[in-house]
Amino acid sequence: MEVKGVKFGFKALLNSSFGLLLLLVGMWVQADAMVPAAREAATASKSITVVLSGDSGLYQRSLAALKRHLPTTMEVESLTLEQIASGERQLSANDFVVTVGAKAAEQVMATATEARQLSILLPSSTFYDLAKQYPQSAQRLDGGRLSAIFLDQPARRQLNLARLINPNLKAIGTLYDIRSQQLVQQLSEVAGGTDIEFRSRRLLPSDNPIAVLREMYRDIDVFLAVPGKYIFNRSTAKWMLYLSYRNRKPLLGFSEDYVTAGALAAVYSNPEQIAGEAGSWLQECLDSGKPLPPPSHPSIFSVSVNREVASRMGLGSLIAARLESQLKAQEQLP
Amino acid sequence: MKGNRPAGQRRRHNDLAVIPGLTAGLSLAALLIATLVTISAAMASFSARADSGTQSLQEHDWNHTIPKVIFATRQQQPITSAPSSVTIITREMIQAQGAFHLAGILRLVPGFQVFLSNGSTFGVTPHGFSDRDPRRLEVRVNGRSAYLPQLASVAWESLGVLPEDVDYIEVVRGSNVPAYGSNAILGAVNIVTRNPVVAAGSRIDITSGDAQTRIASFSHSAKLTDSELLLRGAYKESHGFDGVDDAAHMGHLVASGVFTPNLSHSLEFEMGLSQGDFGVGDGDHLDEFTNDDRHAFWVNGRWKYFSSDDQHWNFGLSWADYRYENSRPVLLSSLLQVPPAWIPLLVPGHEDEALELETGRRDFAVFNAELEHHLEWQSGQQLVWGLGARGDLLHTDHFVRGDGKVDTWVYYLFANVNKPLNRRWEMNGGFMLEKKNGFDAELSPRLALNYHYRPGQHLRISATRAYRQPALMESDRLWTVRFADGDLVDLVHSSDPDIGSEQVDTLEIGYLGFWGQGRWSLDIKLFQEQVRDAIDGIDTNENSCSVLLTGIEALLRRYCQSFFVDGDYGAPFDKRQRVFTNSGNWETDGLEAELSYKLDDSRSLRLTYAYLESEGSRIKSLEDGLSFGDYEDAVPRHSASLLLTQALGNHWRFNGFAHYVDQVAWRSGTDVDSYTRLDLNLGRTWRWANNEAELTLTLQNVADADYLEFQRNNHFGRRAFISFSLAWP
Repeated sequence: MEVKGVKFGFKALLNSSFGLLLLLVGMWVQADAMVPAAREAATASKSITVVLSGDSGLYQRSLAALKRHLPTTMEVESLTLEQIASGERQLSANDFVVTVGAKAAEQVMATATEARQLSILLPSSTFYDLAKQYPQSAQRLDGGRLSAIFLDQPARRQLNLARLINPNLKAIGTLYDIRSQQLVQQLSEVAGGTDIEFRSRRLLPSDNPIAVLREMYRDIDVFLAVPGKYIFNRSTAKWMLYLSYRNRKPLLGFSEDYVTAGALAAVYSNPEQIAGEAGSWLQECLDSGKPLPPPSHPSIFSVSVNREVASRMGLGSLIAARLESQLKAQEQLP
Repeated sequence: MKGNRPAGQRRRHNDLAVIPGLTAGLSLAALLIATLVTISAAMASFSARADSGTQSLQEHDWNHTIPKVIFATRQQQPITSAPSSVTIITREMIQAQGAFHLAGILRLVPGFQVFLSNGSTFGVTPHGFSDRDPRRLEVRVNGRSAYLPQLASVAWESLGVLPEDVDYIEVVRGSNVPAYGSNAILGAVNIVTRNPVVAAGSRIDITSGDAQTRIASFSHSAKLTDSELLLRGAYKESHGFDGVDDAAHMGHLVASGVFTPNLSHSLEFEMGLSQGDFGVGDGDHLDEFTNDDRHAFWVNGRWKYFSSDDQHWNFGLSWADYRYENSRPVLLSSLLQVPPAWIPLLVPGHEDEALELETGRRDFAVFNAELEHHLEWQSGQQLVWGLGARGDLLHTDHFVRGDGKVDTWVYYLFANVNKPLNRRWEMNGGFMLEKKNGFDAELSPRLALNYHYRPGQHLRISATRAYRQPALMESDRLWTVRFADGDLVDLVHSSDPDIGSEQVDTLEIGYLGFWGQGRWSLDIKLFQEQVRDAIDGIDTNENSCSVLLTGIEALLRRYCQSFFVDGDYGAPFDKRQRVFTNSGNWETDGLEAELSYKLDDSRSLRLTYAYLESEGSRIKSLEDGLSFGDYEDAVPRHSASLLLTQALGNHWRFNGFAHYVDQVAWRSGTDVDSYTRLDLNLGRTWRWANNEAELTLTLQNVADADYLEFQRNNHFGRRAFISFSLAWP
């Protein structure tokens, strides 16, 4: 009987636990369903058009993240570059367009549309180049009908990270090419307002990369890598990492991948973070009818640290989460 | 009967019968090359058009993948995109494990077996099935294929690399023929030494310890205007196992450099020589050990050219020259156990004389030239294709057919495409087409699908069919014992003229996952490996071959070879002959797993486990009827390792490496019982200015429970070593 009693008790416990589990699942589903419902109430009958620069994972990840941050009832129309270029789909002033990537941004700007346009996942330098190239953009920018969340990090944030990693930082350096000239110009201007000496050198196709890097590393405390034609796609990236180890001088990358490959640290915003921030902007504008905020660098970002490289350089105390919160505190971000 | 066919008449070597196959193979190769070149050219022009005029940064400039793994497909790809399981061994792991020999590092790889065949000579084999000269594993050092052409095996001790020279090692666990050719039929190892650009200043390392081990090494780097150079060298000696005449002395000197004239071109080169003498022999016959003198010289160059943003070319050229020599002269009367005066009666025209019973002097060389073309699209798709030629040259007095010289050329063509199918699915498809002189062309394809179902969580399924064409000593072996005047005394070994390629079909399902911001990682692979027509030796006997024993007539017809060499009788005293042919089939099913956990900055552990189950058989002997050899114990069923690293603070560190191997029966070795070995090392580092000194105490097999390495009398007991290193700018 005792055994039976135990069995019965166990069964009852199992039944009641199952019931409780069902109840919890039901509540969770209900609660989950209530949030979009609340959003939907505020944004009913709104729709956006998303134009992707391509079909690769990068754009698809951005689109998926954007949809996740919008109410499920909001209509999201996804268009290709070809549909815009061929005129198959005409954009009107009532449209709200999100362009993902540089090609999509250019394609929509080229249509001389009056639609509201938020461009994401493109470098700041590219956005301003395009804005100059298409004259009506200036007016749209002023009227809050054109804006962007850039892919690159603000120069000050990158310099702040370098300073956090090396509090005695005196000189920081980088190599650039024609593509990254504007990014380096921004860094130089911001560094000019601080006591950090900023050294940069343009890489030419005829340059010996090791000789140039050797000279650069001799005079700096931290190397800041910027993307570019010659910087990333060539073995130059490998020499940058190797000489960083050899000179025991930190190399700061611009993506999580760079850190995995051997850079000491990087501050970056991934497509999900940028798309998430774009989702917040969209809701704000659609709910309130306000113009778009001015173009800006992402305020949501991450910091990564390569632990093995940090240990090798005697910087084992660096912790990514702490650096991230310190950077946010310096910018008074939540 | 085939066995009576003169040895010189073979399917290969200008045999007219081979021409249709050759022509067909070359036609196929030409067709494939033409197709690939056309595709490449089309893609190149497409790429150039797409890129023209783009002077602004694009989002892709932020999102290019930094290379992590190259060896699985020749392409630069993240480990999660590779078509096979890949183990990456870092410098930190090598230092923690504390191995003093390069081959010993590979005990960190699940499913790999590492053994000391003699006091200072190593064997490394994936999934067992090996004798003292493991084949079926491709080993590259800085891109140079480092195999000995006679058996396509590796002389680990002559590679000119010490553990402290290594930057990292990539190990492809599973067939990698579609990327690197025949030798990679069960796996591939890519050893990358410290690049001259990383190595700074000078360094010396000294180690002394049990087994009269002495190791001294140095490295020195120099900067020139346009290049970086590194010179390193080492001397090692050890008396080997107690009671065994297997002492060894060896040294090497290697110079390497990097030359980067501009952003589009880079050249990396290496030149080295290695020299040593090694006591080698069979543990069952301690009185028959000999000294093997080994000399090796190699040059290796790799030129990389970036023709545009998304295309580059690699051209590799290497030459390695080897001279090995050993000798064990024994009087014929002693061999026959008769008085010397009887020899003229037994062999008219000859007095008693010393006969060479070892392999004598062997001169061999390997030449390799290959070209790779890499293309990359913004969609993430990558293509590599290339072609190459490899020459194996061997000269030995009494080990191969004809005049003792055999030159074989292999021409090959390969390609691999890595294509993201959508957000989650990715495909790798590739092939290797190899054409060896005198053999049919073999096409080895592979298809793999990777499923990235969640960030940090990846599944993979892949299927490979791979072929290994026979090595020189498998296809052209003719080991004879002769008098000084060349008269034949005994025919010992020969090759089957109809020998063909081994075939391996591999199916694997893998999982690779990361958690806790990458602090945890787990790599599990389930696999099935079917080996068909494995090359091995069959013992035959003239008596059974000549009378065609009832019941096995067909086998005798198939495998018996002539006992005459150029008209001379090869079995006056010993009627036996071992014939190398395709005689074995086996299947290995198993599981391999690697679990890594980085507890914090000062502690980490890495656990590996492999379960291997094999079954199959080979024809072992046709001497007195048919006898089979089984493969059941040819692989250790269970093996595991645990690597623990612990930084103790104040510049102290402590590491432990435990290693378990189940019982295994080694071919040409012995049955080795299961064993567990625990190695510990404790180190202290001092740093001042830019100098660094380090003192390390290493204990191997701490428990002192003697275990056997590969063969009888190789008793490995407790060993202790002390090491000191000094580095300065």
